[in-house]
Amino acid sequence: MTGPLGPATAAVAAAVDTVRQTARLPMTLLRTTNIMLTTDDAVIGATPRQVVWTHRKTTLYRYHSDRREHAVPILLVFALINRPDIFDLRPGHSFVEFLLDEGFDVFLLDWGVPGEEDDDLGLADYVCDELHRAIRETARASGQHEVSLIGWCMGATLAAMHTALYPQGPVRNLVVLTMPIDTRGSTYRQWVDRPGFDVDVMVSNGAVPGALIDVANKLLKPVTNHVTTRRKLVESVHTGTVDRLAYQAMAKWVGTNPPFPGTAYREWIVALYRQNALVEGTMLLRGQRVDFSRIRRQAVLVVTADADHIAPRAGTVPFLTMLGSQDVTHFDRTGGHIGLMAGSRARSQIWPDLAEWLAGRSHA
Amino acid sequence: MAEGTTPLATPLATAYRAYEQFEAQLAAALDHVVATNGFADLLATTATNVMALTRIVNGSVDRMVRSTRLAARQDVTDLARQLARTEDKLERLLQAVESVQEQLTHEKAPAP
Repeated sequence: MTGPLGPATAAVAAAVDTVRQTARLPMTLLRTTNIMLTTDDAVIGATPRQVVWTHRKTTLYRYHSDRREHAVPILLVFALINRPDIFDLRPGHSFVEFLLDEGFDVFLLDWGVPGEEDDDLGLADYVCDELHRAIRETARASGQHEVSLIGWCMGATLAAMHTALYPQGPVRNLVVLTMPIDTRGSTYRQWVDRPGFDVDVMVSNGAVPGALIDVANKLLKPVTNHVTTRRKLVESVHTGTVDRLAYQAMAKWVGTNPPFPGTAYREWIVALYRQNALVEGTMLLRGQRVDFSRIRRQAVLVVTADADHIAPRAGTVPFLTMLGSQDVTHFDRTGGHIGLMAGSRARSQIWPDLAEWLAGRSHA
Repeated sequence: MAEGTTPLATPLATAYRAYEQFEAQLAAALDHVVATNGFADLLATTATNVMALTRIVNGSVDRMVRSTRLAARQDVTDLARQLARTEDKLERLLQAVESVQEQLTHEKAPAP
Protein backbone atom coordinates (compact mmCIF):
# COMPACT_ATOMS: atom_id res chain seq x y z
CA MET A 1 0.00 0.00 0.00
CA THR A 2 1.94 3.03 -1.20
CA GLY A 3 -0.72 5.78 -1.30
CA PRO A 4 0.12 9.14 0.24
CA LEU A 5 2.89 7.71 2.39
CA GLY A 6 5.29 7.26 -0.49
CA PRO A 7 7.31 4.25 -1.54
CA ALA A 8 10.03 4.67 1.07
CA THR A 9 7.55 4.64 3.95
CA ALA A 10 5.75 1.61 2.46
CA ALA A 11 9.02 -0.27 2.17
CA VAL A 12 9.80 0.44 5.82
CA ALA A 13 6.32 -0.68 6.83
CA ALA A 14 6.73 -3.89 4.83
CA ALA A 15 10.08 -4.57 6.45
CA VAL A 16 8.62 -3.98 9.91
CA ASP A 17 5.72 -6.30 9.13
CA THR A 18 8.08 -9.01 7.91
CA VAL A 19 10.10 -8.79 11.10
CA ARG A 20 6.93 -8.83 13.19
CA GLN A 21 5.48 -11.88 11.38
CA THR A 22 8.78 -13.72 11.58
CA ALA A 23 9.12 -12.99 15.27
CA ARG A 24 5.70 -14.51 15.86
CA LEU A 25 6.48 -17.72 13.99
CA PRO A 26 8.06 -19.61 16.94
CA MET A 27 4.98 -18.95 19.08
CA THR A 28 2.73 -20.01 16.20
CA LEU A 29 4.61 -23.28 15.86
CA LEU A 30 4.48 -23.89 19.61
CA ARG A 31 0.72 -23.29 19.70
CA THR A 32 0.19 -25.51 16.66
CA THR A 33 2.24 -28.29 18.23
CA ASN A 34 0.23 -27.94 21.42
CA ILE A 35 -3.02 -28.33 19.49
CA MET A 36 -1.73 -31.43 17.72
CA LEU A 37 -0.28 -33.02 20.86
CA THR A 38 -3.47 -32.54 22.89
CA THR A 39 -5.84 -33.73 20.16
CA ASP A 40 -6.64 -36.88 22.11
CA ASP A 41 -8.11 -34.73 24.89
CA ALA A 42 -10.88 -33.52 22.60
CA VAL A 43 -14.35 -34.54 23.71
CA ILE A 44 -16.33 -36.26 20.96
CA GLY A 45 -19.57 -38.23 21.13
CA ALA A 46 -20.63 -36.46 24.31
CA THR A 47 -24.42 -36.36 24.00
CA PRO A 48 -25.98 -38.39 26.85
CA ARG A 49 -27.18 -41.82 25.74
CA GLN A 50 -28.05 -45.22 27.07
CA VAL A 51 -27.36 -48.73 25.85
CA VAL A 52 -30.40 -50.44 24.37
CA TRP A 53 -28.91 -53.63 23.00
CA THR A 54 -25.54 -55.27 22.54
CA HIS A 55 -24.25 -58.25 20.61
CA ARG A 56 -20.58 -59.10 20.33
CA LYS A 57 -18.91 -55.71 19.69
CA THR A 58 -22.06 -54.07 18.35
CA THR A 59 -23.98 -51.66 20.59
CA LEU A 60 -27.25 -49.87 19.96
CA TYR A 61 -27.54 -46.54 21.77
CA ARG A 62 -30.55 -44.32 22.36
CA TYR A 63 -30.05 -40.61 23.01
CA HIS A 64 -31.91 -38.87 25.82
CA SER A 65 -34.65 -36.60 24.59
CA ASP A 66 -37.49 -34.75 26.30
CA ARG A 67 -39.01 -33.16 23.23
CA ARG A 68 -40.02 -35.96 20.94
CA GLU A 69 -42.35 -34.66 18.24
CA HIS A 70 -42.01 -37.20 15.44
CA ALA A 71 -43.30 -40.73 15.85
CA VAL A 72 -40.85 -42.61 13.65
CA PRO A 73 -37.43 -43.05 15.32
CA ILE A 74 -34.16 -42.53 13.49
CA LEU A 75 -31.39 -45.14 13.43
CA LEU A 76 -27.95 -43.83 12.45
CA VAL A 77 -25.49 -46.24 10.82
CA PHE A 78 -21.89 -45.47 10.01
CA ALA A 79 -19.07 -47.35 8.25
CA LEU A 80 -17.09 -50.22 9.76
CA ILE A 81 -13.76 -48.44 9.33
CA ASN A 82 -14.32 -45.32 11.45
CA ARG A 83 -16.13 -44.67 14.70
CA PRO A 84 -19.74 -43.45 14.49
CA ASP A 85 -18.91 -40.48 16.76
CA ILE A 86 -18.88 -38.37 13.61
CA PHE A 87 -22.68 -38.22 14.00
CA ASP A 88 -22.15 -36.61 17.41
CA LEU A 89 -18.85 -34.86 16.84
CA ARG A 90 -18.77 -32.21 19.56
CA PRO A 91 -21.20 -30.24 21.70
CA GLY A 92 -22.67 -27.45 19.63
CA HIS A 93 -21.79 -29.17 16.38
CA SER A 94 -23.51 -32.53 16.54
CA PHE A 95 -25.97 -34.01 14.05
CA VAL A 96 -27.44 -36.09 16.88
CA GLU A 97 -27.94 -32.98 19.00
CA PHE A 98 -29.57 -31.26 16.03
CA LEU A 99 -31.99 -34.14 15.40
CA LEU A 100 -32.92 -34.24 19.10
CA ASP A 101 -33.64 -30.51 19.01
CA GLU A 102 -35.83 -31.10 15.97
CA GLY A 103 -37.91 -33.54 18.00
CA PHE A 104 -36.67 -36.90 16.70
CA ASP A 105 -36.09 -40.05 18.72
CA VAL A 106 -32.48 -40.87 17.83
CA PHE A 107 -30.65 -44.21 17.98
CA LEU A 108 -27.08 -44.96 16.96
CA LEU A 109 -25.63 -48.27 15.85
CA ASP A 110 -22.00 -48.63 16.93
CA TRP A 111 -20.17 -51.54 15.31
CA GLY A 112 -17.53 -51.36 18.03
CA VAL A 113 -13.88 -52.24 17.60
CA PRO A 114 -13.61 -55.77 16.20
CA GLY A 115 -10.81 -58.05 17.30
CA GLU A 116 -9.16 -60.96 15.58
CA GLU A 117 -11.87 -63.21 16.97
CA ASP A 118 -14.39 -61.35 14.80
CA ASP A 119 -12.68 -62.27 11.54
CA ASP A 120 -15.60 -64.58 10.73
CA LEU A 121 -18.03 -61.67 10.47
CA GLY A 122 -18.97 -61.06 6.86
CA LEU A 123 -21.20 -58.50 5.21
CA ALA A 124 -24.17 -60.85 5.61
CA ASP A 125 -23.61 -60.93 9.37
CA TYR A 126 -23.55 -57.16 9.56
CA VAL A 127 -26.57 -56.66 7.29
CA CYS A 128 -28.77 -59.64 8.12
CA ASP A 129 -27.93 -60.02 11.82
CA GLU A 130 -26.47 -56.94 13.46
CA LEU A 131 -28.31 -54.26 11.49
CA HIS A 132 -31.47 -56.34 11.23
CA ARG A 133 -31.63 -56.83 14.99
CA ALA A 134 -30.70 -53.22 15.69
CA ILE A 135 -33.63 -52.05 13.56
CA ARG A 136 -35.93 -54.40 15.41
CA GLU A 137 -34.63 -53.25 18.81
CA THR A 138 -34.95 -49.60 17.75
CA ALA A 139 -38.60 -50.09 16.85
CA ARG A 140 -39.26 -51.98 20.08
CA ALA A 141 -37.54 -49.43 22.31
CA SER A 142 -39.32 -46.59 20.56
CA GLY A 143 -42.71 -48.29 20.71
CA GLN A 144 -43.13 -47.97 16.94
CA HIS A 145 -43.47 -50.37 14.02
CA GLU A 146 -41.30 -48.36 11.64
CA VAL A 147 -37.93 -46.61 11.65
CA SER A 148 -35.99 -44.16 9.50
CA LEU A 149 -32.58 -45.48 8.57
CA ILE A 150 -29.76 -43.00 7.95
CA GLY A 151 -26.58 -44.53 6.60
CA TRP A 152 -23.36 -42.71 5.85
CA CYS A 153 -20.50 -43.91 3.66
CA MET A 154 -20.20 -47.69 3.92
CA GLY A 155 -22.99 -47.56 6.51
CA ALA A 156 -25.26 -46.27 3.75
CA THR A 157 -24.36 -49.23 1.55
CA LEU A 158 -25.14 -51.64 4.40
CA ALA A 159 -28.42 -49.82 5.10
CA ALA A 160 -29.42 -49.91 1.42
CA MET A 161 -28.57 -53.61 1.19
CA HIS A 162 -30.68 -54.32 4.26
CA THR A 163 -33.65 -52.37 2.95
CA ALA A 164 -33.43 -54.25 -0.37
CA LEU A 165 -33.30 -57.62 1.39
CA TYR A 166 -36.16 -56.83 3.78
CA PRO A 167 -38.45 -54.51 1.80
CA GLN A 168 -41.42 -55.44 3.99
CA GLY A 169 -39.44 -54.79 7.18
CA PRO A 170 -39.71 -51.87 9.57
CA VAL A 171 -37.67 -49.42 7.45
CA ARG A 172 -40.00 -46.63 6.33
CA ASN A 173 -37.48 -44.00 5.23
CA LEU A 174 -34.00 -44.65 3.88
CA VAL A 175 -31.42 -41.85 3.81
CA VAL A 176 -28.06 -42.63 2.21
CA LEU A 177 -25.25 -40.12 2.62
CA THR A 178 -22.21 -40.20 0.30
CA MET A 179 -22.67 -43.91 -0.42
CA PRO A 180 -20.33 -46.05 -2.54
CA ILE A 181 -22.32 -48.32 -4.85
CA ASP A 182 -20.86 -48.20 -8.36
CA THR A 183 -17.09 -48.64 -8.25
CA ARG A 184 -16.38 -48.35 -11.98
CA GLY A 185 -13.56 -45.92 -12.67
CA SER A 186 -12.75 -45.35 -9.00
CA THR A 187 -9.16 -45.10 -7.79
CA TYR A 188 -9.90 -47.63 -5.05
CA ARG A 189 -10.93 -50.17 -7.65
CA GLN A 190 -7.80 -49.47 -9.63
CA TRP A 191 -5.73 -50.16 -6.51
CA VAL A 192 -7.39 -53.38 -5.41
CA ASP A 193 -7.78 -54.77 -8.92
CA ARG A 194 -4.03 -55.05 -9.56
CA PRO A 195 -2.53 -58.56 -9.64
CA GLY A 196 -0.14 -57.64 -6.82
CA PHE A 197 -3.01 -57.06 -4.41
CA ASP A 198 -3.58 -60.43 -2.73
CA VAL A 199 -6.76 -60.15 -0.70
CA ASP A 200 -6.14 -63.54 0.95
CA VAL A 201 -2.84 -62.33 2.37
CA MET A 202 -4.45 -59.04 3.39
CA VAL A 203 -6.93 -60.86 5.63
CA SER A 204 -4.54 -63.56 6.81
CA ASN A 205 -4.09 -61.87 10.20
CA GLY A 206 -7.81 -61.99 10.92
CA ALA A 207 -8.49 -58.30 10.46
CA VAL A 208 -7.03 -55.58 8.31
CA PRO A 209 -5.55 -52.89 10.58
CA GLY A 210 -7.48 -49.64 10.57
CA ALA A 211 -4.25 -47.70 10.25
CA LEU A 212 -3.51 -49.41 6.94
CA ILE A 213 -6.92 -48.48 5.59
CA ASP A 214 -6.41 -44.93 6.84
CA VAL A 215 -3.12 -44.72 4.96
CA ALA A 216 -4.89 -45.81 1.77
CA ASN A 217 -7.72 -43.33 2.29
CA LYS A 218 -5.28 -40.49 2.78
CA LEU A 219 -3.25 -41.52 -0.25
CA LEU A 220 -6.21 -40.66 -2.45
CA LYS A 221 -5.32 -36.99 -1.85
CA PRO A 222 -1.79 -37.20 -0.44
CA VAL A 223 -0.86 -33.53 -0.35
CA THR A 224 -4.27 -32.32 0.76
CA ASN A 225 -4.42 -34.83 3.62
CA HIS A 226 -0.82 -34.76 4.78
CA VAL A 227 0.32 -31.23 4.05
CA THR A 228 -2.50 -28.80 3.34
CA THR A 229 -4.48 -29.69 6.46
CA ARG A 230 -1.50 -29.00 8.70
CA ARG A 231 -0.44 -25.93 6.76
CA LYS A 232 -3.93 -24.47 7.14
CA LEU A 233 -3.81 -25.21 10.87
CA VAL A 234 -0.52 -23.31 11.18
CA GLU A 235 -2.00 -20.47 9.15
CA SER A 236 -5.14 -20.23 11.27
CA VAL A 237 -3.08 -20.29 14.47
CA HIS A 238 -0.86 -17.54 13.10
CA THR A 239 -3.78 -15.34 12.10
CA GLY A 240 -5.64 -16.05 15.34
CA THR A 241 -8.64 -17.61 13.59
CA VAL A 242 -8.08 -21.19 14.71
CA ASP A 243 -11.07 -23.12 16.07
CA ARG A 244 -9.12 -25.38 18.38
CA LEU A 245 -12.03 -27.56 19.47
CA ALA A 246 -13.26 -28.06 15.91
CA TYR A 247 -9.84 -29.07 14.64
CA GLN A 248 -9.10 -31.41 17.53
CA ALA A 249 -12.50 -33.11 17.41
CA MET A 250 -12.18 -33.84 13.71
CA ALA A 251 -8.51 -34.85 13.98
CA LYS A 252 -9.30 -37.22 16.85
CA TRP A 253 -12.13 -38.80 14.89
CA VAL A 254 -10.06 -39.13 11.70
CA GLY A 255 -7.23 -40.73 13.68
CA THR A 256 -9.38 -43.44 15.24
CA ASN A 257 -9.60 -46.38 12.86
CA PRO A 258 -10.98 -49.73 14.00
CA PRO A 259 -9.75 -52.82 12.15
CA PHE A 260 -11.81 -54.20 9.28
CA PRO A 261 -12.87 -57.83 10.01
CA GLY A 262 -11.22 -60.17 7.51
CA THR A 263 -14.28 -61.82 6.00
CA ALA A 264 -16.16 -58.54 5.60
CA TYR A 265 -13.06 -56.94 4.08
CA ARG A 266 -12.64 -59.73 1.55
CA GLU A 267 -16.30 -59.51 0.51
CA TRP A 268 -16.19 -55.71 0.35
CA ILE A 269 -13.11 -55.72 -1.89
CA VAL A 270 -14.01 -58.65 -4.10
CA ALA A 271 -17.77 -58.21 -4.48
CA LEU A 272 -18.16 -54.46 -4.33
CA TYR A 273 -14.92 -53.21 -5.81
CA ARG A 274 -13.63 -55.91 -8.13
CA GLN A 275 -16.95 -57.33 -9.32
CA ASN A 276 -19.10 -54.20 -8.85
CA ALA A 277 -21.71 -56.70 -7.69
CA LEU A 278 -24.29 -54.21 -6.41
CA VAL A 279 -24.60 -52.56 -9.80
CA GLU A 280 -24.25 -55.80 -11.76
CA GLY A 281 -27.01 -57.32 -9.65
CA THR A 282 -24.85 -60.25 -8.57
CA MET A 283 -24.49 -59.43 -4.86
CA LEU A 284 -25.72 -62.33 -2.79
CA LEU A 285 -26.17 -62.28 0.97
CA ARG A 286 -27.16 -65.62 2.49
CA GLY A 287 -28.28 -66.79 -0.90
CA GLN A 288 -30.55 -63.84 -1.53
CA ARG A 289 -29.80 -61.36 -4.30
CA VAL A 290 -29.53 -57.73 -3.29
CA ASP A 291 -31.99 -56.11 -5.67
CA PHE A 292 -32.54 -52.40 -5.08
CA SER A 293 -35.66 -52.40 -7.24
CA ARG A 294 -37.34 -54.18 -4.32
CA ILE A 295 -37.14 -50.91 -2.38
CA ARG A 296 -40.63 -49.76 -3.37
CA ARG A 297 -42.47 -49.03 -0.13
CA GLN A 298 -39.79 -46.77 1.35
CA ALA A 299 -39.15 -43.09 0.79
CA VAL A 300 -35.50 -42.70 -0.22
CA LEU A 301 -33.22 -39.69 0.09
CA VAL A 302 -29.86 -39.87 -1.68
CA VAL A 303 -27.23 -37.28 -0.72
CA THR A 304 -24.09 -36.79 -2.80
CA ALA A 305 -21.20 -34.34 -2.42
CA ASP A 306 -19.52 -32.73 -5.41
CA ALA A 307 -16.00 -32.92 -3.96
CA ASP A 308 -16.28 -36.45 -2.56
CA HIS A 309 -13.18 -38.41 -3.59
CA ILE A 310 -13.93 -41.45 -1.42
CA ALA A 311 -17.45 -42.13 -2.70
CA PRO A 312 -17.56 -39.96 -5.81
CA ARG A 313 -20.94 -38.66 -6.92
CA ALA A 314 -20.74 -40.76 -10.09
CA GLY A 315 -20.48 -43.87 -7.91
CA THR A 316 -23.76 -43.13 -6.13
CA VAL A 317 -25.99 -41.72 -8.85
CA PRO A 318 -26.72 -45.11 -10.54
CA PHE A 319 -28.52 -46.07 -7.31
CA LEU A 320 -31.26 -43.56 -8.19
CA THR A 321 -32.26 -45.48 -11.28
CA MET A 322 -32.09 -48.86 -9.57
CA LEU A 323 -34.75 -48.07 -6.97
CA GLY A 324 -38.34 -49.23 -7.25
CA SER A 325 -39.69 -46.47 -5.01
CA GLN A 326 -41.63 -43.54 -6.43
CA ASP A 327 -40.65 -41.29 -3.52
CA VAL A 328 -36.97 -40.65 -4.30
CA THR A 329 -35.18 -37.37 -3.58
CA HIS A 330 -31.62 -36.45 -4.51
CA PHE A 331 -29.63 -33.72 -2.78
CA ASP A 332 -26.41 -32.96 -4.64
CA ARG A 333 -24.46 -30.56 -2.48
CA THR A 334 -21.14 -28.81 -2.23
CA GLY A 335 -18.65 -30.55 0.04
CA GLY A 336 -16.49 -33.57 0.64
CA HIS A 337 -17.17 -37.10 1.82
CA ILE A 338 -17.16 -36.17 5.51
CA GLY A 339 -17.16 -32.37 5.37
CA LEU A 340 -20.61 -32.33 3.81
CA MET A 341 -22.22 -33.64 7.00
CA ALA A 342 -19.64 -32.71 9.62
CA GLY A 343 -18.05 -29.54 8.28
CA SER A 344 -18.59 -26.09 9.69
CA ARG A 345 -21.38 -25.32 7.20
CA ALA A 346 -23.31 -28.57 7.66
CA ARG A 347 -25.51 -27.18 10.41
CA SER A 348 -26.89 -24.46 8.17
CA GLN A 349 -26.65 -26.07 4.76
CA ILE A 350 -27.60 -29.74 4.93
CA TRP A 351 -28.94 -30.73 8.36
CA PRO A 352 -32.11 -28.59 8.19
CA ASP A 353 -32.96 -30.05 4.77
CA LEU A 354 -32.52 -33.60 6.06
CA ALA A 355 -34.68 -32.86 9.10
CA GLU A 356 -37.39 -31.30 6.95
CA TRP A 357 -37.37 -34.25 4.55
CA LEU A 358 -37.64 -36.69 7.46
CA ALA A 359 -40.24 -34.67 9.39
CA GLY A 360 -42.66 -34.86 6.48
CA ARG A 361 -42.33 -38.65 6.48
CA SER A 362 -42.20 -39.41 10.19
CA HIS A 363 -45.82 -39.14 11.31
CA ALA A 364 -47.52 -42.03 13.09
CA MET B 1 0.19 -15.66 6.13
CA ALA B 2 -0.03 -11.96 6.78
CA GLU B 3 -1.82 -11.06 9.97
CA GLY B 4 -5.39 -9.84 9.69
CA THR B 5 -6.10 -8.12 6.41
CA THR B 6 -2.79 -6.35 6.00
CA PRO B 7 -2.36 -5.51 2.32
CA LEU B 8 1.42 -5.20 2.53
CA ALA B 9 3.26 -7.18 -0.12
CA THR B 10 5.97 -8.20 2.31
CA PRO B 11 8.64 -10.67 1.25
CA LEU B 12 7.13 -13.15 3.70
CA ALA B 13 3.66 -12.82 2.19
CA THR B 14 5.05 -13.13 -1.30
CA ALA B 15 7.00 -16.23 -0.37
CA TYR B 16 3.93 -17.73 1.28
CA ARG B 17 1.80 -17.14 -1.79
CA ALA B 18 4.47 -18.75 -3.94
CA TYR B 19 4.53 -21.74 -1.60
CA GLU B 20 0.73 -22.05 -1.78
CA GLN B 21 0.92 -22.15 -5.56
CA PHE B 22 3.65 -24.77 -5.42
CA GLU B 23 1.59 -26.86 -2.98
CA ALA B 24 -1.49 -26.66 -5.22
CA GLN B 25 0.54 -27.77 -8.22
CA LEU B 26 2.16 -30.58 -6.26
CA ALA B 27 -1.26 -31.72 -4.99
CA ALA B 28 -2.65 -31.86 -8.52
CA ALA B 29 0.42 -33.73 -9.77
CA LEU B 30 0.37 -36.31 -6.96
CA ASP B 31 -3.41 -36.79 -7.28
CA HIS B 32 -2.66 -37.77 -10.87
CA VAL B 33 0.21 -40.04 -9.84
CA VAL B 34 -1.81 -42.04 -7.28
CA ALA B 35 -4.40 -42.77 -9.98
CA THR B 36 -1.89 -44.48 -12.26
CA ASN B 37 -1.45 -48.23 -12.67
CA GLY B 38 2.19 -47.93 -11.67
CA PHE B 39 1.31 -46.47 -8.29
CA ALA B 40 -1.53 -48.98 -7.89
CA ASP B 41 0.96 -51.83 -8.45
CA LEU B 42 3.36 -50.30 -5.96
CA LEU B 43 0.70 -49.82 -3.32
CA ALA B 44 -0.89 -53.23 -3.86
CA THR B 45 2.38 -55.10 -3.55
CA THR B 46 3.54 -53.01 -0.58
CA ALA B 47 0.28 -53.54 1.33
CA THR B 48 0.35 -57.28 0.62
CA ASN B 49 3.99 -57.50 1.73
CA VAL B 50 3.26 -55.58 4.95
CA MET B 51 0.44 -57.95 5.84
CA ALA B 52 2.51 -61.02 4.93
CA LEU B 53 5.39 -59.78 7.07
CA THR B 54 3.00 -59.04 9.94
CA ARG B 55 1.68 -62.61 9.69
CA ILE B 56 5.20 -64.06 9.81
CA VAL B 57 6.21 -61.90 12.80
CA ASN B 58 2.98 -62.68 14.66
CA GLY B 59 3.43 -66.39 14.01
CA SER B 60 7.05 -66.37 15.19
CA VAL B 61 6.25 -64.44 18.37
CA ASP B 62 3.32 -66.74 19.06
CA ARG B 63 5.54 -69.82 18.77
CA MET B 64 8.10 -68.28 21.10
CA VAL B 65 5.50 -67.39 23.72
CA ARG B 66 3.86 -70.81 23.44
CA SER B 67 7.20 -72.52 23.98
CA THR B 68 7.25 -70.91 27.43
CA ARG B 69 3.84 -72.53 28.13
CA LEU B 70 2.12 -69.19 28.29
CA ALA B 71 -1.05 -68.43 26.33
CA ALA B 72 -0.09 -66.69 23.11
CA ARG B 73 -2.08 -64.26 20.98
CA GLN B 74 -3.70 -67.03 18.95
CA ASP B 75 -4.82 -68.82 22.12
CA VAL B 76 -6.45 -65.65 23.43
CA THR B 77 -8.10 -65.10 20.03
CA ASP B 78 -9.42 -68.67 20.06
CA LEU B 79 -10.92 -68.14 23.49
CA ALA B 80 -12.50 -64.85 22.43
CA ARG B 81 -13.89 -66.58 19.35
CA GLN B 82 -15.51 -69.23 21.51
CA LEU B 83 -17.09 -66.52 23.64
CA ALA B 84 -18.34 -64.73 20.52
CA ARG B 85 -19.93 -67.92 19.22
CA THR B 86 -21.58 -68.54 22.57
CA GLU B 87 -22.96 -65.01 22.45
CA ASP B 88 -24.25 -65.67 18.92
CA LYS B 89 -26.15 -68.70 20.21
CA LEU B 90 -27.56 -66.75 23.13
CA GLU B 91 -28.68 -63.97 20.81
CA ARG B 92 -30.45 -66.44 18.53
CA LEU B 93 -32.11 -68.00 21.57
CA LEU B 94 -33.20 -64.57 22.77
CA GLN B 95 -34.68 -63.74 19.38
CA ALA B 96 -36.56 -67.04 19.37
CA VAL B 97 -37.90 -66.46 22.89
CA GLU B 98 -39.01 -62.93 21.98
CA SER B 99 -40.69 -64.24 18.87
CA VAL B 100 -42.61 -66.86 20.84
CA GLN B 101 -43.48 -64.23 23.46
CA GLU B 102 -44.94 -61.95 20.78
CA GLN B 103 -46.85 -64.85 19.26
CA LEU B 104 -48.36 -65.72 22.65
CA THR B 105 -49.30 -62.09 23.26
CA HIS B 106 -51.13 -61.97 19.92
CA GLU B 107 -52.94 -65.23 20.66
CA LYS B 108 -53.99 -64.01 24.13
CA ALA B 109 -55.26 -60.69 22.84
CA PRO B 110 -59.09 -60.65 22.59
CA ALA B 111 -60.43 -60.75 19.06
CA PRO B 112 -61.80 -57.37 17.95
